[in-house]
Amino acid sequence: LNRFRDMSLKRKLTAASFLTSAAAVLLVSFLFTANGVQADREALTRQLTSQAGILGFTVVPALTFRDERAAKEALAALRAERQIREAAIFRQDGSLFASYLRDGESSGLPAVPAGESEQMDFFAGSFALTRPIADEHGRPLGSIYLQTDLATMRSRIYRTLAFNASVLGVSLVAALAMATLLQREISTPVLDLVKTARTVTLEKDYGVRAAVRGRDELGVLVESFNEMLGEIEARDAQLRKVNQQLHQRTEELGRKHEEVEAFVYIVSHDLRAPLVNLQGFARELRMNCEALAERLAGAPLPPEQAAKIRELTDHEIPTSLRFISASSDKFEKLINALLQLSRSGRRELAIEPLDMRALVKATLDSLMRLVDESGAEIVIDRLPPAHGDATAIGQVWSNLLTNALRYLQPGRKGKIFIRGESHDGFCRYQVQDNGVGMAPAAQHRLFQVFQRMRPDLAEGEGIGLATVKRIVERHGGHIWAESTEGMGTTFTFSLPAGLRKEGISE
Amino acid sequence: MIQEQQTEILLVDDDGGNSELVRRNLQRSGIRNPIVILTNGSEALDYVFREGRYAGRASSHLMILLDINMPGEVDGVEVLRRIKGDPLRQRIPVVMLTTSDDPREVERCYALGCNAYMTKPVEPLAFIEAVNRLGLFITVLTVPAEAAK
Repeated sequence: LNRFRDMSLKRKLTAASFLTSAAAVLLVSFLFTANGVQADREALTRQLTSQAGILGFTVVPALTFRDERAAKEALAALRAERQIREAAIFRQDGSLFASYLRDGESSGLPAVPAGESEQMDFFAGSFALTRPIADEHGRPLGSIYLQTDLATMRSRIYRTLAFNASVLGVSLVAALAMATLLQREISTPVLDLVKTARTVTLEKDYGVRAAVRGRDELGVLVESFNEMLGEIEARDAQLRKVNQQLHQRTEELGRKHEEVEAFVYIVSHDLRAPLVNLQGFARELRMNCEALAERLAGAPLPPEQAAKIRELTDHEIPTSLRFISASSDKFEKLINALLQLSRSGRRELAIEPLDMRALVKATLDSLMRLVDESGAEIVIDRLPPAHGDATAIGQVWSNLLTNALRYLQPGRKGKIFIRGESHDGFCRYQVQDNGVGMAPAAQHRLFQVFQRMRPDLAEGEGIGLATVKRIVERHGGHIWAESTEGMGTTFTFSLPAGLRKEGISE
Repeated sequence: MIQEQQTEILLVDDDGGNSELVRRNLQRSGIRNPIVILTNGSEALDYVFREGRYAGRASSHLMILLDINMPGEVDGVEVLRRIKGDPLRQRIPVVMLTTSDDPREVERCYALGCNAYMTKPVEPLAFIEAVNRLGLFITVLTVPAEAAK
């Protein structure tokens, strides 16, 4: 059965229909043959019985009058019947009265018992019949024995068998031919479907279609399959398109990002050179001015002129130079800040598991002087571990804590809460202070570069929070602030709790 | 050690202002070596290889302060490559000047055989220290303030 299961569909269908029709034809021809044989036997029996009856009736006077001659003559008439091989008439006591032999030797007469009824026996190619003989009053006189050879019947049976066999053969060939032809109706669409499915699987070509050949279940199947392919093809195309767009956009974004990085880098470098000159030559001028003042000190000049020159060399020129120096120093600081920001965006992040509590404590230790000066109370609550770059996240904490400490409300005891929670695969960390807070209008500028909220309270270039935002976002997190003027500010940032690759690098 | 000829200091920078500041600072620090200021790479090559308008220049001991980024076809890196690739001149000490401490640029310079690199602005003390480290002898005179112009 397993071999049948692994056969090709074509063979299976052919075999199934051929075997079915073969079984039917075989059964029918067997039944016909058996029926024919049975009918032949019955006809033979009938014929022999009636012959024995007639013959028996004919020899009644001979038996009655013990005329053996007449009986023998009556039997000799059997010569007309070619198939009767041997015949005999027995007396009532079982002794032989007369006999007939067609040719050759006798195959042996039976010991015939005086029976009341007929006896029939098929044996060794012969059929024998014994029938009682009675007179008109029904008195038993003896019996008649007829033996016939079965050659005629046999040859008829053989003819029937041969005919049946040839009919059978022709039928089987016809059945095979029909099965082979008809199985195509089923197997061709199925094989076509299989071929299409294999093309799709192997070549990932969703553009192929199986041919529809009819309106039957197979036709419906093929049609549904084609429809499915069509849908997949459409989705595939759409997916490819979207993917391509995404790829393009990512590339574009990356390119723009690189451009911006290069721009910041080049600007901050190229701006430095003239700036350095500006600073250098301002210094030169200051020295020249001092030398000039020294030389003029000994020069004989009218007092009014000398006072005017002294005013220039001692006050006006140095003041101008001081402003030039101060401005260019400020300029340099801004450029350095820009460079630092650009570096924080380009530095490769080394993502590792972070013990946030240890990191916060270490950060606070490094800010010890600021903490002591502020006199603030710092409370560290639960801080779940996260994944991130230790240096970068340390910088985030350092910036946020420095801000909290620097912008405390003067005259109010500072309180800073540090806490964290994990939620939905992200860890959130908070730095809450009771400092000066911010006006709502100022809050949207908080994370922008060079924005200073309270220059009166602390110095800086205004890139701290911009850097923090970049770092957090490069980690795949977010940062935001809630603030009430005069009440305090809360910074919250989130980081992925689990391990992940660096997100879209800023 | 007595040298017949003083080492010439070649300042190559497209930013003439920077070279001028370096020159003044070096002189104020007491360096009395002749200082030559050039503003582009090809001129520097002409000078070093005594070609073009410097064809007739008398040979001299050189030490070069070379800006890495210069406009034009020959930038500082190319000048460095040519000098270090010439058997006669590869021993001329070259100090590269960069505006950044970008590790890639620094690596590139060392790969080409520069002797030292400094970031701008050049501090005279750092320059003298670099020169000493290179084992060069530069005449440093302690002079009264009036002597310095």
